[in-house]
Amino acid sequence: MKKLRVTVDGKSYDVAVEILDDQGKPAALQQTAPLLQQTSVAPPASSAPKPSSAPAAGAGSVTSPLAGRIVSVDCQVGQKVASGAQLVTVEAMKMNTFVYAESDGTVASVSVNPGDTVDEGQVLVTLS
Amino acid sequence: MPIKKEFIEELEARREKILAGGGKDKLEARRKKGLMTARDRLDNLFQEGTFMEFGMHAQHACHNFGMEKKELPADGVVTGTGYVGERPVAAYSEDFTVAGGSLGQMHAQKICDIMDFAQRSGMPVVCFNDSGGARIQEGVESLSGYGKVFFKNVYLSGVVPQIAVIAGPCAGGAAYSPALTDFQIMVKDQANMFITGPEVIFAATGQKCTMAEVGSAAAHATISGNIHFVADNDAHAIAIVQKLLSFIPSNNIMDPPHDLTQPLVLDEDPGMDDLVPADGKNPLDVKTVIGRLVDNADFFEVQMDFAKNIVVGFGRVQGIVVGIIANQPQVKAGTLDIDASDKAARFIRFCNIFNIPIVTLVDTGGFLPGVAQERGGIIRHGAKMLFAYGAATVPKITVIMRKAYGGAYLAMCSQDLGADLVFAWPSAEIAVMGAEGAVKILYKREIEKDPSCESKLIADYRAKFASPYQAAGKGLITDVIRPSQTRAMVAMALRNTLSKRETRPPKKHGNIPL
Repeated sequence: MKKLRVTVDGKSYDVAVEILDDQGKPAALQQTAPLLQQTSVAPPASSAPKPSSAPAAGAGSVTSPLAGRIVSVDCQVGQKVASGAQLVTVEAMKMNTFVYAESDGTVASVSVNPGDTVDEGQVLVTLS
Repeated sequence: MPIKKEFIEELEARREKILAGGGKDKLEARRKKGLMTARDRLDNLFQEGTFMEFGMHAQHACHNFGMEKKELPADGVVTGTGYVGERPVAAYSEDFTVAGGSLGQMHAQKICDIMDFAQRSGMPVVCFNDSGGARIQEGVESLSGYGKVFFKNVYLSGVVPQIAVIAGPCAGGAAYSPALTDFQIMVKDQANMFITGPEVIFAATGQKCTMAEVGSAAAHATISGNIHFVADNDAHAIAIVQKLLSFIPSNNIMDPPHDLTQPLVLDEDPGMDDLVPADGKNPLDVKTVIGRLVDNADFFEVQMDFAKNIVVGFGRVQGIVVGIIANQPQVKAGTLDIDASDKAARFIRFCNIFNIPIVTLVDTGGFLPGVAQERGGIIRHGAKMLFAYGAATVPKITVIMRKAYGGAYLAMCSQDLGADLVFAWPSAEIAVMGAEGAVKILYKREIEKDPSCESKLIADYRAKFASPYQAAGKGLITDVIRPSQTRAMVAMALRNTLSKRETRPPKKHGNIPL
């Protein structure tokens, strides 16, 4: 399903368009996302020493996807957040990476401040 | 004078028995569980009535352990050809209802025969793996059967496309046959694949693990990177095979199924301009860029759950089939790491074998720094990308959208690696390294004396080098274009390079760092 905006005589309409094949079925094949969480198995490069400063991630922990520097903390302790809400911005390799909430919850704690450097897998925020 | 009735009756009786596989009750039991039978899979893959079976009446070769009294219909594997779309395709499908789909000498010979036929005729091979493994009663003959199948997989590699569906168990050495093919599809929940399963791992090492962790479709799609697609069920797996075949040619001397009847349209797409974030540090979603680049937003992504920092897959740009390789800045800042390099390199090599032009979309800050990366061999793995691009002789079109730094700039099919045409957006930043790092090296003494000058030096460096014009000035870029012109320019570039031919010095093969 693709969302398009059509403007006719200056008036805008938002329409959803789906491409169908000859039989009227959706043409683009949907692929399935697997169910397994990446965290349930040790990453393959685990032979390399893991930074000792990174605390173990528990349930509700939101971790940094890569090593970098905290640009901003985009949530506050006690704030209710919906799944997909932006929690922290990490800068690495000249690019900002937004870290999002994976589920609905309340921000229980924030472990980092802007300017901090973080390791991959380090806990940034915990949600309850 | 008509043929004797008994002949026809005997043939029909034999056919009926063989078509029932391990027994009608077993076939029904599978269907009730929501699984297709071996023959259902082929019937669904091929256009109705086009299946031509090879070796239906084959007899198994085992004369020990009472097996000589047993009949194994088709020896547990159904082989033949049929039509997918307009084209003939060879296939084999293992029948789990016949001796657990176990592989014996005749089973293996049937597989090898259909693969030989596919190679001689230049048609793709699709296989459905659903087997308990080697037929123990046949001993070393069954082991030798696997060896022969592996050899055929290798023999056909690079000649005709091979697609494996892992639709049931695929354990031990058996897993190496699909691993030697071009694409692997696993059916979620009903398939597993491993060399050593949880019991053997525990017995040998004491490590406890579950099948979901080591052998499931999810584990292979996300962590090991062994497979390319996850299917919900048999029908979905077959749909994936058909979709895949719609982008690839039947063999290495044919062109992929381009649609050259479409007139070239050079209209601009203003929506593409809107996709570029005003702040160069904020990531764009490269999948939305790809969606606008390909026809009907129909992008068929390969390995979508593995190394998500790089996106690869097939599409058509104004009718011409392309393989797309793109950095995804939303994941790991679009950096290249070990897994991303492996994923991209393998895809590039597939495209090159089967004459599929390559479109590369660049937005990467570089190779991912880190101890794990260095110790894991990022030099060797990253080199695969350089090797694959450098060795590819198909048309290579590169669009530098934003960041293109250092070795990663080269690795993403720069002109120096043999790109035929390189377009850059005005937002492109092509430089040997980022401004912060460069200034620290270039002006070490000045900054030591007066640290306050650093930010100005960084800004100056960025203004001068974080743009496409330095590279364009040195002739490293074909042209700087607006994002809105991308689809039109790529489409024209593809038409202009369709007649490309490039020959290199003859050799057995290059020595890609493995």
